[in-house]
Amino acid sequence: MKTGLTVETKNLTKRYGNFTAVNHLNLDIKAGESYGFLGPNGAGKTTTLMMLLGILKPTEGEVRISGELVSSDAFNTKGLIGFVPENQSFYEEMSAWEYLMFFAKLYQTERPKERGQEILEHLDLWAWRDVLISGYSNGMKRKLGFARATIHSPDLLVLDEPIAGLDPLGIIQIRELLMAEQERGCTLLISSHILSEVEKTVNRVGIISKGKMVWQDTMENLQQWVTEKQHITITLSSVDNEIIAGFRSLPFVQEVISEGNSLCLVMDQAGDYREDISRFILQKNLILLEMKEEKTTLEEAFVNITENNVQDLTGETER
Amino acid sequence: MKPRDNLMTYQSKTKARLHAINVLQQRNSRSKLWGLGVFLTMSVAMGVSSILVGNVIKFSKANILLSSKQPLLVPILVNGVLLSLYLALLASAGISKEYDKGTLETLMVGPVDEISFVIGNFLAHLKVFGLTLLAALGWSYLCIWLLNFSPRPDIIALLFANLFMASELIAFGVLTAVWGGKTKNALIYFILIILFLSGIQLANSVVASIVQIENAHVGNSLILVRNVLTTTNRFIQWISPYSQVRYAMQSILDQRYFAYLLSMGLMVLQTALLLIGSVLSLKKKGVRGIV
Repeated sequence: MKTGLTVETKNLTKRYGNFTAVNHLNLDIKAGESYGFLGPNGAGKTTTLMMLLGILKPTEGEVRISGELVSSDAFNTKGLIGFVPENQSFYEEMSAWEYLMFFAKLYQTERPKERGQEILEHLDLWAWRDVLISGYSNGMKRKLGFARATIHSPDLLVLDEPIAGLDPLGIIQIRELLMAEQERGCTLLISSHILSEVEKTVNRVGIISKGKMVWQDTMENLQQWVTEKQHITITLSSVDNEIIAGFRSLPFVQEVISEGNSLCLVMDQAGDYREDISRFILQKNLILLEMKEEKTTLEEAFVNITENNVQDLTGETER
Repeated sequence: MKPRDNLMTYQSKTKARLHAINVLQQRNSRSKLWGLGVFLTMSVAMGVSSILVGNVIKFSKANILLSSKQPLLVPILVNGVLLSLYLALLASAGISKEYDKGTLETLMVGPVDEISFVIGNFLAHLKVFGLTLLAALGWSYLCIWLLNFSPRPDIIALLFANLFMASELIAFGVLTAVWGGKTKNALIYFILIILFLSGIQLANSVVASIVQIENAHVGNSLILVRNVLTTTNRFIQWISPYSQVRYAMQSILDQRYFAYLLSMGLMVLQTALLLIGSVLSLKKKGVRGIV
């Protein structure tokens, strides 16, 4: 069983001229944890990962991996990290096997041939091992990137948009590989702009928007937060401001969003308010055409968090 | 941290760095030897050298005297110059390609730092040059056997000088790759700098010969140009590996062994400076061309 590496950033900041890509980011990932690093495109995820891996130098702040400051000559720490970038590049003139064995040697992997065979077989690439990488499809190259990143059984696996470009079977294979690594005690850091992609793999998430951390909690708490409000959409024969104000005055209604003759009523999860709503409609002599309960998905919650509704962790409201 | 811990960290880093250098140089030299380019250039270089030896033989037969004390030295020098230039270009193109394609980033995320990357690539190309030198040695002894020349140790001394010349040129190729970042830029830098330095040397000899021929009739401005070019040329001769290896060859012929060793030392020093420059540039520029 591995111990896994910890990742800690303090006020990590990256500026390009006047543009701040990452703004005083504080991350604290525990050993053996599976952490989802989420955010929309351009939020600063890849820049953060590049600083974690020592490829980019922070403008301000620091990165420590298992207590050691990240630098290009931190051989011991770097030798324990596996990285799958979003855009992968290979030595295309090599065969997959030569490529894997080169990295196994570089990382001083124990029993490289057995390990290489195990991974390639799991990813259905074993039969293709002697084919030049230039002949591989994009999906096969992505899988080979995973094989390279895990050949040395890393203690920290950093993945940037890991399943982009993979077919459903490939996604399952990668998920199994990640779970196996996690069971071994490896720390996982998965960056993605798709929440559902990491939902099944991670146990804690950090959501970044415009370079700032706006949400950091366990996956369980995020799901609970998503489901703590219920949305009921009603369609009436006609809607005016007086009707909207009437619904707003109901004690259990927190927010009313109108769109044409439809009203979306946002309420807490304390009870079933459908009966109360029906009674109110009858009292006001309104004609109800439709009533349905809307479930908020994690994706919608993610959009809400990153776009407007949530106070970020620094206390400023992103609007 | 205690001094003993510092020493252990230093030792472990050095060991890890040496391992990375070794793995990188093995991969790179193998990939160069798999290509046809090295063998093609080696064949051309040996062809040119053989033509030069043929000319010496023809001249000797026509004039019933040997034109040189050691007729194989110039062909070996030409062979070395062609191959070292090719390998330096290959180093420049190969390293900048790693930048272009992003494979450098994949390496640097792992247990590779700027020093191990630069030295690993440098040694890979030098190793390939070393192998071509062995072929050149074989060719020389074939000539000696076929043409009944005397087997003198000068040949070995010149082959060594060639190795040092190649090391300086390859280090220069590495530096232009780091400067250029993109393959196209790296090759343009490499070719332009070589052309600029050769152009000054050529211009200097042209202007100097004009001044010598038209001694009484040349104006002050031409004399000034000659003086500037001569001074620049003196500096270039100090930094040019070709000038140094020519000087080394002359020292061999004149049996001035200290001068020979001095040329070697100078080339080693310049190689070291070029490699240090490459490492510092790579550190400053970063793997993505931005830090």
